[in-house]
Amino acid sequence: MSDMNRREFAEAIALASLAPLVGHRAGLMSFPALESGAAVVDPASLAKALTGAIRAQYGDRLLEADFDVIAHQIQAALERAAKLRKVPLSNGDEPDFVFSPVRAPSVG
Amino acid sequence: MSDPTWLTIPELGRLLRDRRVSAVELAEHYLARLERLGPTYNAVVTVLRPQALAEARQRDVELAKGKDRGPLHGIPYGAKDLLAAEGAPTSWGAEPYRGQMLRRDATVVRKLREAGAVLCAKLAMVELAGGMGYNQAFASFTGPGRSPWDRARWSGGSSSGSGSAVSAGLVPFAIGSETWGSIQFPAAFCGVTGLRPTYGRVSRHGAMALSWTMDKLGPIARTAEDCGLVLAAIAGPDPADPSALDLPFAFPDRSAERKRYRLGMLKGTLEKTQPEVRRNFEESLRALRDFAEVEEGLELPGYPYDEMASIVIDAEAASAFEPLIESGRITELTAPEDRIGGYAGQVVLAKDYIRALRVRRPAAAALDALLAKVDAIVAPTLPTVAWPIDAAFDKVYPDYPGGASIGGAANLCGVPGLFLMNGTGEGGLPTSLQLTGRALGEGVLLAIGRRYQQRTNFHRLAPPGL
Repeated sequence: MSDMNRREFAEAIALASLAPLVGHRAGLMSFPALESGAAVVDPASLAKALTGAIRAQYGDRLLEADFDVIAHQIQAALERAAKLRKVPLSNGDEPDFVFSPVRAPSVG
Repeated sequence: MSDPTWLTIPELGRLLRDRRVSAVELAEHYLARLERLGPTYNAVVTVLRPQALAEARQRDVELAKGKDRGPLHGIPYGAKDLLAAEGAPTSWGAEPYRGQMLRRDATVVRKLREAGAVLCAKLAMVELAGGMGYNQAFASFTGPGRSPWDRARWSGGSSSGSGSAVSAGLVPFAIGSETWGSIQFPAAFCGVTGLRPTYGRVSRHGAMALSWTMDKLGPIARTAEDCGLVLAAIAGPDPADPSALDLPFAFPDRSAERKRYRLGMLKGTLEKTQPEVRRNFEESLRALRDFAEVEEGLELPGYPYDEMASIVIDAEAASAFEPLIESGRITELTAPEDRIGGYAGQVVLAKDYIRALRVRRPAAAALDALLAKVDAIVAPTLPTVAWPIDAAFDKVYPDYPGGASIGGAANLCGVPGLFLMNGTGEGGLPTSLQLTGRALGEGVLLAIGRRYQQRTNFHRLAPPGL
């Protein structure tokens, strides 16, 4: 069975270059980022560990061959995440969502 | 009654208002086609004959009394089976949810009813809108979606039935959804017009969630004008969906009309596309240059858009479908790869998801800065014609993976896209043209699409034998 899905296919046909980044928001307060001491994480090792978490939760319903596929998928996801870590962010760069506090109308 | 099968929404509206056809007759016509031809393309989950006829009767009574709800009054349509409609099952294309009855209408269904449209069918889709990572057309309990142009080819997904039903003349328009490519692929493979609205333009309430921050609902129809009329009916705020924008959308949008438009092309966009796709795209550029300048050589900002989109979908789908995975019923899905495709998402690291959401904001600003240089970025919708139905997606057309693509960036950043048939290629199958614009720029895309379709007749072509 193939482990490349349509999304991965779409990625494969797209440019995914990581040229020097431009376009950071101007005019917003920015906080300096620390130079990160490059923690060396081998995606294959981490994928193996995370596959262990899947095994712990769902091991009774998956075949050994399934775990190979899942490990590969996890590794691919970790490699995608590694590319994101090349984008510089400062402490003030917030996630693109806004939480709305709730106050229900008073009753009576 | 002359044959209304291939008419546009305004043309059908004129027939209704001139009393040359009744809403009941129109509904009967399309219901018969849905029942007779729907199974040929695996396009339909449920035909809603009694409900549709009852609604159509009401629309006729209203018209007789002088009550006209607008351009969609009495127009039949179909909804992708991830939209809840009271009284009909909503299966999400997936065996574990077959027969699921949701006791409410999706906001889109309600708005279309208020606009006078007549819901005739729930249309087939890829199981869970492709959220488990399908790699083949055989990924729905209704069978593989088949293109009306060639039943041996895939209709595209995940809005498979929405694309094929419009293409085969089973409904004048349909509602589809797109998280990443799910209106784009069916519009291209079925040779119809599809509109992916701006994220938040249309309420998602009552639609199956795959990715709360990337799901969009939009029309698939014969023309850009039809898509605009439908969008005008379904757009707008909704207290039930906090992401729904409180911004009006009217069609046509006079502010979007220009004497000449500015179009841009990404550098490398034509690389590794089928020769016929390239030829038809170049023909399209000639037609577009009648009313637009085309600037070549644009480049996407250097953000990892596709990677971000994947992480966001993986993480959000993992939560959306956690109950299915926990239940163990994921093994009932049709495509074998979908039965195990949901597990990897369960261990997406929170920090990776949050980082994707943090990078998304500057990445969207950079994409907007690019899009602001032009009215739209133009490209082939896909690098090939419809894929053979029995081929694994990663094995199909290996020589034509396509060039620079804006699809992942556009979906991640929630900007609109319009997809239009622009010719035929290998095997007489449709090829397609896409326009991508700034957020809330649907009016501009639709205006360009209308001008293009005034100069061409591909939107008037019916699949062979129909």
